[in-house]
Amino acid sequence: MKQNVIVIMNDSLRRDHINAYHVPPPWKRPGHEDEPFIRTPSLDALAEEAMRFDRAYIASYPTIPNRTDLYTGRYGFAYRGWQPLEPKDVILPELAGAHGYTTALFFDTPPLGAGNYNFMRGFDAWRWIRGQHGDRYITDPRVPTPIDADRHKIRSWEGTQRYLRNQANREYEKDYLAPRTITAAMEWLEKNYMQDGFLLWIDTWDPHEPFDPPPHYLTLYDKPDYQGQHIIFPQYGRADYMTPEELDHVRALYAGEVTMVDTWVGYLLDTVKRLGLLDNTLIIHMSDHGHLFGDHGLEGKPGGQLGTLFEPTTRIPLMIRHPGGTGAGQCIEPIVQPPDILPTILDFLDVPIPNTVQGRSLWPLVNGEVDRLHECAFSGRYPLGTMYSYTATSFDGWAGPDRITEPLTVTTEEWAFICAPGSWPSHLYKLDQDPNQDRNVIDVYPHAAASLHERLIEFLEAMGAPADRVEKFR
Amino acid sequence: MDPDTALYVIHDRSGRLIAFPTREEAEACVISEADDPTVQERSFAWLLENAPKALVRIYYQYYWAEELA
Repeated sequence: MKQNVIVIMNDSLRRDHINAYHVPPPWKRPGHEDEPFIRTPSLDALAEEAMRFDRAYIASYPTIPNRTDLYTGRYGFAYRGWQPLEPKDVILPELAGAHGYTTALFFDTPPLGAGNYNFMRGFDAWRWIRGQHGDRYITDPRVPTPIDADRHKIRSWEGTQRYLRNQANREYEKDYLAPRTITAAMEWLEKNYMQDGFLLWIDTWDPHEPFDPPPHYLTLYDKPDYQGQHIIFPQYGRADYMTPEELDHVRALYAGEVTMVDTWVGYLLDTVKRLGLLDNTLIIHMSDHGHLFGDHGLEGKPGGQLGTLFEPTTRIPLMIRHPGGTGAGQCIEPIVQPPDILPTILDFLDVPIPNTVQGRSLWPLVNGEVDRLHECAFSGRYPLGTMYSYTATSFDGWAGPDRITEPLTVTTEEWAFICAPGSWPSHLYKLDQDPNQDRNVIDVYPHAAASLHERLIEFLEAMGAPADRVEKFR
Repeated sequence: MDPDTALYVIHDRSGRLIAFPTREEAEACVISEADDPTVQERSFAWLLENAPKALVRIYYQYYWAEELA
C-alpha cells in the first residue's frame, strides 16, 4: 500500500500567531491583557503529534514565488519572479501522479488559478473556491459594498469592493472562504480516503487580507469598546496613517482570521482521524510568509526601499506529522526552507527526486543522520517584469516599482544579514541577542557581515542567478 | 524624488498631510470631515522642508517624505 500526503498551506500566517511556537506576543491586546494572545487549539494539538520546525525561513517571496519553490523544490528568487509555471518546470503533482498517486488541489488562493498561472497543472482533480479578493467573480452592481474607513487607508478600494461583492451571499461561518475550501477538501477525503496513495494540497488565502473574520472571532481580540474605522485591507508601507487604536483593530481582525483558520484546520484533522488516515498519511502544515502590523513601523508587505525582509515576514511556521510518530512533539532547531518540502514529500512517498531539485529532504535531519541541512537561509524576491506586475500587485500587494531590486536576507542561527543592492545600506542583526532586530550592528561586526555577504554571492551563483542580478549585490 | 516633483496633498482627520502623485488620486481620498477638505499642489521640496514625516503614497504604499529624498 502506498502512503498519503496532505499539505495544508495557510497564506500569511505569522509564526508568532500559533501558540505552539511559544513566541512572546509581539504586541498587547487592549482589553484582553489577561487572556491568551492567540487561540490556535487545533494547530497546538497538531504540534503535539508533529515535528515543529523552529527555523523555517522563506526562500522566494511572496505567494506565487513561494508556491513555485514548493512545486519545484527550487530557489526561484535567484532567477525568476512572480510568473506562471513554465512548461519545463518539473513539479510535485506531476511527479507524484507519474508514480501512481492520486492528486487533488483545493484552493481559494486566487493567483494560483488566475489567468495563465496554472498552478492546478498536474493534479488529477482540483477545485477553486471562488470569491477571494482580487478574484474576478461577481460583477452585480446592485450588491452594496460599504467600506467603513477613509479611502486613503485602504490598499485597494476597488479591490475591496470587489471582495465585498464576492462575499455578498455569506451568512454563516461555514460560508467564509477558508471554511469552504477546507470543507471541499474534507468532502474529497470522504470519497477518496481509500485511494492507494494520494497527495492532497489545501491552500487557503486566509489569514491573508482582507482581514474579515466572523464577528465571534473578532470579539476574542478586539478592544471591547472600539468604535473606530474598520480597515479590512490596510494600505502598505509606513503604518502611521492609522491611529494606534486602528492598528490594534487591524491586529484583532487578523487574529480573528487566524483562529477561524485554526478551527477549520481542526475540522480537517478530525476528518483525517475519522477516516482512519492518521496511520498512513504525512501531514504538513505551513505558511508562505508573515505580514507586518506595525513591526519596524511598517504595515503589510512593503517593497522598494521599505522592502527589507525582517523575521516576522521570513520566519514561518512549519509542522510535519509523520504517521509513524517520527519526531512527534519535537522541536527541530536547524534551518529549513520551502524548497526542502518537495524532496521531503518525494522521499516519503518513495518517489525518485529529480535532479532539477535544489532543496534537500528533511528526513536525514529528522532521523539524526546529519546535524543540519543548511548553514544559512536565503530569502528574497526577484524583481518583477512589467508583464506580470498587474497580477502580482492586484493579488498579493506587490508594492514597489517594477523591476526594482530589493534587499535579500541571509539568516543563520546567530545573524540576519540584510544585503542591500547598489548604494542602499545593508544591515546586520545579532538574532541571539536582538531577536526583534532593533539594533543594526553591521559596524560592530563587519567580518560577520562580510562572511554572510560572500555566502550570498556564492548562493546566487550556485542557484543560477543571472550575472547582472548577482552584480547588484556584490 | 526630484525636488520639483508636483505632489497633491490632502489632510487626514488629525490634520496630517497625505501626498499623492496625481490630483485624481488625491481628490478620491479627500475627507470631507477634515479641517481642510481641499487638494493642494505642493512641490516635493516644500513637503520635505515643511513636513518630512508626511506620508507620500507611491508605488502602492506609504513612504515618509524624507525617505524619498
